[in-house]
Amino acid sequence: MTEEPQEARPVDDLWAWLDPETPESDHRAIDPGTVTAVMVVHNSRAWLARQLLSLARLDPRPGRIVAVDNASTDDSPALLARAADEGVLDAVVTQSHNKGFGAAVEAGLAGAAPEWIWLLHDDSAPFPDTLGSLLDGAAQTGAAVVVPTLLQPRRRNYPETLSEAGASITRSGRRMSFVDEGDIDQQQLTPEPVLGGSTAGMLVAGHAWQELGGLAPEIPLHRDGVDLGWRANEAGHLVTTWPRAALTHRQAGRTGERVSSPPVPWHRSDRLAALRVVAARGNRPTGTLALLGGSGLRALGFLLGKSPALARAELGAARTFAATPEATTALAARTTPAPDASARVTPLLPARFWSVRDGVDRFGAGVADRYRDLVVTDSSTSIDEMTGDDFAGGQTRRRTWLSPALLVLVGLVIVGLVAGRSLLGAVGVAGGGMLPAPPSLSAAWQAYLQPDVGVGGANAPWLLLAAFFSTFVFASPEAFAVAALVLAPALAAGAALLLLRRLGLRIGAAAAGAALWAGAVLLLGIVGAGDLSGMALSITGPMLARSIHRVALDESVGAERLRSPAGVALWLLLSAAAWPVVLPLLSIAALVWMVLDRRRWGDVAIGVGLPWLFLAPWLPTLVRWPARALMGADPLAWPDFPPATFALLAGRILPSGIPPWVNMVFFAGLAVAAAAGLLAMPRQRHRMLVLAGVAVPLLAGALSSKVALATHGGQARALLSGWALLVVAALLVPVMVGLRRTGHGDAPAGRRSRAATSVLALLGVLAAGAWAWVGFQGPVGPSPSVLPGYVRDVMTSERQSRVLMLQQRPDGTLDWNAVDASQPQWGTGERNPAGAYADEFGTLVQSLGVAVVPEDLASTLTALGVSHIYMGGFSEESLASVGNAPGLTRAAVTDDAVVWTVAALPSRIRLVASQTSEPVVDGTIAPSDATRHIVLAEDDDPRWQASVGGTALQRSPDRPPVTFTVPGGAGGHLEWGMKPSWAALGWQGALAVLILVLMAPTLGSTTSARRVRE
Amino acid sequence: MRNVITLVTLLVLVGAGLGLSLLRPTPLPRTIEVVPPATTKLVCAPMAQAGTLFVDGADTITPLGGDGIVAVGPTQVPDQSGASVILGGSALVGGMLTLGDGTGGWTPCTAPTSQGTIVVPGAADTDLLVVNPDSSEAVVDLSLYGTNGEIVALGARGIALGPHSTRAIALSVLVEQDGPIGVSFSASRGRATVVARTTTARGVLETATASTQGTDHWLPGVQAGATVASLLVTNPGNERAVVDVTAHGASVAYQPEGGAGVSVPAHSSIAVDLAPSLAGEATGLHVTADIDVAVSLSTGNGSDLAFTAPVTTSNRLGAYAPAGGVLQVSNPGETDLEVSLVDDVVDGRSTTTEHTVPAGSTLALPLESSAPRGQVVTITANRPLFGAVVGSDTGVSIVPLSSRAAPEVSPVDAEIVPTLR
Repeated sequence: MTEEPQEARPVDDLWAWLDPETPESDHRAIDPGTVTAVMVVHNSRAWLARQLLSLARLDPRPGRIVAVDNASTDDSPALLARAADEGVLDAVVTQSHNKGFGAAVEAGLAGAAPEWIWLLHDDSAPFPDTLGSLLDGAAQTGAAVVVPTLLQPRRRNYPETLSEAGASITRSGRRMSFVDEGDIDQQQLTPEPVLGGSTAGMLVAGHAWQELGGLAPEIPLHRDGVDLGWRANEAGHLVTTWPRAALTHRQAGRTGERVSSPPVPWHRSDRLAALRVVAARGNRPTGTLALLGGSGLRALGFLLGKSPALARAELGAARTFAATPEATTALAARTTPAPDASARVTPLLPARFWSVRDGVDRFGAGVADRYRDLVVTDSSTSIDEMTGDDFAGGQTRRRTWLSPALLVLVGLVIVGLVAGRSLLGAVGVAGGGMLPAPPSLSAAWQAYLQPDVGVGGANAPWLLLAAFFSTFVFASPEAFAVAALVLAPALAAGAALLLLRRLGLRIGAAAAGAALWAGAVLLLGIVGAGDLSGMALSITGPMLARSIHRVALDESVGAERLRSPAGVALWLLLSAAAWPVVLPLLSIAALVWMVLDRRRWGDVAIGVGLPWLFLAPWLPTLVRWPARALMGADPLAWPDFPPATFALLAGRILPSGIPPWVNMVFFAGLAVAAAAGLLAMPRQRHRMLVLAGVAVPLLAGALSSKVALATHGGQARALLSGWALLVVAALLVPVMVGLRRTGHGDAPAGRRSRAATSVLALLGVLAAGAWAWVGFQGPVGPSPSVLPGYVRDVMTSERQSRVLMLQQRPDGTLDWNAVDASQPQWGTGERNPAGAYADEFGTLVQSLGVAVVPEDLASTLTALGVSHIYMGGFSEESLASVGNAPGLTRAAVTDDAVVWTVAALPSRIRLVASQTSEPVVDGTIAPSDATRHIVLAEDDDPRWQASVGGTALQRSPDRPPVTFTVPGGAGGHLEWGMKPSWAALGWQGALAVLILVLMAPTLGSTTSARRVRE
Repeated sequence: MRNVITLVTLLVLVGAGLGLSLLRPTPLPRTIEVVPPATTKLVCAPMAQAGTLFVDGADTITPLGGDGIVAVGPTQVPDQSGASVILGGSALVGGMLTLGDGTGGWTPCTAPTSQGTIVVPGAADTDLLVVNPDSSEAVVDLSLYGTNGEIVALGARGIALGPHSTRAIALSVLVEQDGPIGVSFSASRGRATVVARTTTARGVLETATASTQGTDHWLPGVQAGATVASLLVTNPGNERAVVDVTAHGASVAYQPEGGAGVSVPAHSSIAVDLAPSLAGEATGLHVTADIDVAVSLSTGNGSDLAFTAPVTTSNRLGAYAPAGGVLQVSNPGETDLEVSLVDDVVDGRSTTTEHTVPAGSTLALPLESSAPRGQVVTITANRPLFGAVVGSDTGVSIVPLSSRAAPEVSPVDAEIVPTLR
């Protein structure tokens, strides 16, 4: 039997079984002939022809198409006339003045009352079946207003993207869309009741139009569709979206393509319309004051977003809104609400705090996008992927949980927690170059605000940053210190990862590079020795390099152009706070760049100038002790670690607690990889550049580690870890270049690349694993105070006394320190750690150490404000000699240590009368008729200040420093201290805010984006 | 070729870095080396009757609680019935001479300490004079050791003294037994000078001053022809002590009979009579023990006794002594010692003589008898020696020679450690 050939069925029919069965409805189809389309035209010469072509292709076609020329000043009227001649348009109405969209529509209707009115913009091109779909929607839903889907103009080789599908409005006037602009149209939308939408393509039932009085003239250009829909809903009509009906909306007014006459700034008119709508609509319209306040905040936001034009438009709209209350009143009167209007409209309005949720969603989406780009999406593409269709490949996406970058980052966090097991919960973590953290957040801020005695300007800026970041770590400087130690390698790896990804490395290679960087940070001893500056530089260095790379390649225009140099400013500022020499070195490089390319003056001014301004309050210190620029934070806190000799080549510049063999394996591997990468570089010039990059910091570091440099209160060595990190970075360059150059996939070069990447990653694993195993065995560790509680109580009491501490080592040498309530802690290593009277303390230490105790020991201690002497590890004979000194009382602390209490209750402050000199022990001065003086046991500085009972005291210039005169009759609570550096804090805070504002994304119109796309 | 250049450059780089790393670094001035200033404070305790204060090397002489006077050179202050405080450098020496009823006694000025021990022949007719020379309160505890062990006495603890005050405590009230008594004092607050004053049969007070416990003691002052030479030993420790005595007499060092392996029970005091075995020679004693003990010497003729506490050996010894007397210097070394003696009569002539002190022996040299304002005696040698000026014209008195050498103090390596807290 021969079967009859089957008819070929269209492809679509083969998939018809997927479509849900549409129940037979009893709606009556609406005759397209009952539709009058009104298209308002204004200065649309560039795209009007295409628009008219779309109208000509309509099927079904409306009964009547009227074009209203709204006082165009270009050739648009001529085009309209020709279209009318050709029969595309049924009529052309010419307006002599542009009175807005609504007035133009009324002019187009010319008093007629068609059954259906189809509103068209001159830049909203319908598809041939758009009207049919709209009428179908109206018939099926019974809606009086049908809102189509608006699509963005089509891009070549790109699917249709959504622009709008209905709209609502928040109480503050913000537009709420039901689609994310730019989303691909996958026919995923379904019809929904809606408050309103754009008038572009809106289909309105004639009876509803008549009932509502058409579009409100008070809002001539924008939000008129939302207002119409709101009134329709209030009147009991259904307003719905019908996604099957679509138009391509050019949004010529918003993007700036349309040159209006007279010019109407889009944002201003849109905002004015929004203000009037929310002030006029609803059972509880938004108050005028609230709207004006909101406009002010929005204007400020635009200003901070580097969009002064939008800020100006915002304020202009607010001004006009406030000046024309009659328009709002008239708009409010244009409503005839049904009894259930509120119940109908409320569900269509955004929920409370929708704006906040929307902002959080956007922020989260942005973070997710960045995360995906960083750790998931590979950056390289092949020619096939770029020229093929959707099935030719594309951006390679790896499973998130196997991403090597994520493995490195999470792994280092876990390793850090394991390694820091001895620090978690410990008190007084310190050691090496790391002094104990201040006991509270306010003390941390005080450490910055309190300037150094004897030197002008403010304190070191790293103290400001330490206090600032401590604020966000449980408001605890101690917690911040532990977190920094534990997380520094992970953060360093993250920074390196960001840099390497920006430079175009694949994820695997970038992850290996990041692991190597973190491993180097660990094995250089930066973490184990408490090198705060080294830790900071390991994070800020790669970020600074990344920012500089971004500046070099940035082709943005306008305010967006400021972002990249602002990024350089931020990271350079942070780097310079840790290691000041970075700033002058980069300034020189920037100036050279500016000479070679004069267009870079703006980048240099922002990128380098702002950090100089930020450091300005600290410049007096740097000018007086220039060598301080070569040192890191708290330079005088560092023990005199023996400078590295041969161990320099194994990276053992600081004690890390990690076995030396790990260093040797790691740095030998890195050196071999670097040498191999170097030899693989084809150009000799590049090789020499890399070698120079290794040579300069290596030699500079080796030299600077040998000299003793002067700083405030003593001598210290230059920061070595900064140079070491530069050497490591230079060694990594040929390694990463080699990995970047080699192929990928299954080619032999690709296999070699993967093998090399794996080996390098293993080196990083070795370093991290050793750290996890060993933990914090270097100088850094828990170091609680050995002083008994009663001694600490006296130190922190109103007496603010000092304690002289001596610890004798088994070999007879002495460790000593002078402590008080504020030292040792962050910042006290910026000057002599013994503070004031370091020389006097040194002499006392010798006397106690050799047990040749002077008779006037007690009076000397009293004059220095020393209330206790701690002596540990001394023989009984030595202690007995000290005991022979008058005015001391002995108490045992441990089997090995004693504390001597000075019997005279020494205090940092003494009250001197004519015949007496007594310590102030309770912080109060009893009133007296006689003139007295207060003497502080401190070094002289004009910024000392004191007050009694709220009355400021004057300095006594004819008396020893630091002396204040207490006039007769004065009495009360005594307060004293150095004048805080509030001005410096304000200055640096303002500059930081300025940098962050410049770094923030520019809030602007879509003009530049659209132009880039097309 | 390019690879060769690259590798060579790399090696040169590594070599340069290595070479620089081997440079000696400039030391950081983290350690402090300072010779601390030495000041000395001595307390001169009075006897019952007024005496004359002899002071040399003082900057100030201050009656207890009173106003000080500036002293320049050897200074005599007569009619001193109260305690005085003298301040000076490392060469400070001083003592109180009390004369009366044909006899006299010498009480050396001693430094206030937080602890010390006095050993006296007996508690009868003995009191303790506790002096607090400082401007802060002192609290002293006494521990008493007799021949039968520690003596628990009511009132021996918590003896409080106000600033610049003295207190006399009758030892006979605290102790009823006979025999030598060791009194250890410790100041739980402040410090004090403690002197034991004994009324001898002739009614003149003799004084014993405190010393520190140790295993090595030097006792000068057994004069030639002494009929009494009693070594008093107190063992305040918890274990039995074994004490040995070496006598430095007229010829060689020897161990006197009864001076070998003297056993001293814990918490006890003993007296060892050495007079018969010293052969009436001018002698200095060297007492050694296996654990810390305190010692003193009671010597004289019949009932005319003088007490002396251990002294220090030094290359340069001196004293400001009354007129007359015999200088006895003992050479504890194993070779002869050349010494230079300067006898500087105050307001008179100064004579310098050279002498040889045979190894292990004591040299006795008479001093100028015509020195109404006293004489400053200085002995210098190139090895340590010890001695005293023994007077007998006005009763036996022993003026111990003190070290007048500047202390050699080497600064200790002290490094400031900012994380010490």
